[in-house]
Amino acid sequence: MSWHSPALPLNPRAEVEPILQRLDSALPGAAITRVEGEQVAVRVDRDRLLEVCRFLKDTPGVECDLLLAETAVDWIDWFDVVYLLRSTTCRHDLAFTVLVSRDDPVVPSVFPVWGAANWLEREVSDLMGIRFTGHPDPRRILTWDQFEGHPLRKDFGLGSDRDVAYNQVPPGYQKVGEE
Amino acid sequence: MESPPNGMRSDRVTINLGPQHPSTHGVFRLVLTLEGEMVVEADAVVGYLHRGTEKLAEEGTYQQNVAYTDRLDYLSGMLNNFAYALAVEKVDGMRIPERAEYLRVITGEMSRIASHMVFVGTFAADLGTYFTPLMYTFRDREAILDLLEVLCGARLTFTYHRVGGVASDAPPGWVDRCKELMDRLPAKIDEYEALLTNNEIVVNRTKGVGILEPALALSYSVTGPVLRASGVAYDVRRAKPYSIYPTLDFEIPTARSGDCYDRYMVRVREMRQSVRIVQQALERLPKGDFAIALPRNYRVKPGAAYASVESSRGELGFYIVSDGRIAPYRCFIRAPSFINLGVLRHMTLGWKVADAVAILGSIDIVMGEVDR
Repeated sequence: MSWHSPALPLNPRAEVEPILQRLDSALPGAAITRVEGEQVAVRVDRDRLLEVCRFLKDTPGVECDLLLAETAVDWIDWFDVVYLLRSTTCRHDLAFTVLVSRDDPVVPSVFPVWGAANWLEREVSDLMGIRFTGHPDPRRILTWDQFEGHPLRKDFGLGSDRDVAYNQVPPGYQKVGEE
Repeated sequence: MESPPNGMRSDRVTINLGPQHPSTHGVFRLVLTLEGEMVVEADAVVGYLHRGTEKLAEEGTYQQNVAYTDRLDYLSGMLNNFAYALAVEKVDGMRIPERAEYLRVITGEMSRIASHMVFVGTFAADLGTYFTPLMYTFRDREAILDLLEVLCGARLTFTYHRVGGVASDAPPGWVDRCKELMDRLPAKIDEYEALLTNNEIVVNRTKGVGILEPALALSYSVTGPVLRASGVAYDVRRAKPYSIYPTLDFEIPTARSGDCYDRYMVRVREMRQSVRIVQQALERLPKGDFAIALPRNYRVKPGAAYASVESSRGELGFYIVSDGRIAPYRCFIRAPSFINLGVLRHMTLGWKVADAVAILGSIDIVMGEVDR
């Protein structure tokens, strides 16, 4: 199987090269970098995600203090979980992805590093069906608790077969007046 | 449960604030656990307005999807259009005409003023003023919306910024009407301030209430006026300048204490800065094309990019993945209201119910954007 994602978030080389070099010397082998001319795509090893995130947040001079976004892209055979980081003090961005297979869509939660991951990861697991180990509050967030499926997956069509019948009472709910 | 000395029992009570409640600004539910009037647990429940915008965007062409973005933060539609158009253009590496950049910034900042006017009015209404300030702010917001209507025919759902430029050029006389309005606005903002800024009731209800520490705000990726009121001078227009902002002269208002009052003050001062920005841009508005011609089923080069603007509520960003077809493969929306709301629980714990309403109002959420 080819893990070559058709489109990964790219970083300007001049901006992220110093960060990646420091990351490589501190945590060898944690980040896989793909080279694309002036632009760099970064993939981080799933098992070392938390180490890498702590390094990116706490290292002076790197200080990625804002987790701008955490989302996922469905490539049918696998998912790219996308992390967009920004440093408000050092004025740089870093975007990287973590690759997970469709059979085992599990990623460690980065909530211990950034509080914002709480709701962002709830959204990703709700809409894309990726599980986050160590997440403090793994409930659905945008759909309701009885909802089945993950709408942003590519096999979740907008066609009539999966349409939600709004007049149906979801299991677990009582109709008004029923005891 | 321990009984207070006067013999009255105080049980914990769980109540629903919303989803149908005027101070929740839409359909938002806050499950509050109270001891007396004190909030001891707060759980924000969102999703009542979830329309699956990100999924729908995968089925629409790049140009069609502009119309969905208006329905996110419907109080500042122009800025939503702006962020989406920027992201698509970034994936494609497109340059747009200079006149379009100016028109985007002018309309975007006018949208920001209109949105902050709604904030001032509704925030005061949340505090119990019963609509006097709201009447003042809506009077002036109408003037802005009238001008935007002249420009694009819509008052809220503009769909004015398109991929490759803007939908239409400014009609004759529009720029002069705009200049005239901008000259009038500072005096109007003075009026709101005369009503509210030193109003004893407003000050008592908001000063020192709902303090958000800067470290907590950053950890929860809070952006926009809420973050700046906590003393962090982070504004996308300065941190990651886009469009013509590097050439404009404006300040980033910040405050120090991070309470509800500061969040109000930061927004009032931002309105004045936006007036300055619009005035400068109108003065320098260049002649030329307002858009580049694109085919209807326009294809974007394969790739992925994130672009963001400083919307009236914080950093509004779009992460767009293209696989070379006429519709985005994935369109993720970084909605500032949604992410700012994530910290609400920490802000309301330990405050009274009435303060929780003030705190929620001071974050200035729009449910269309929270639920997407």
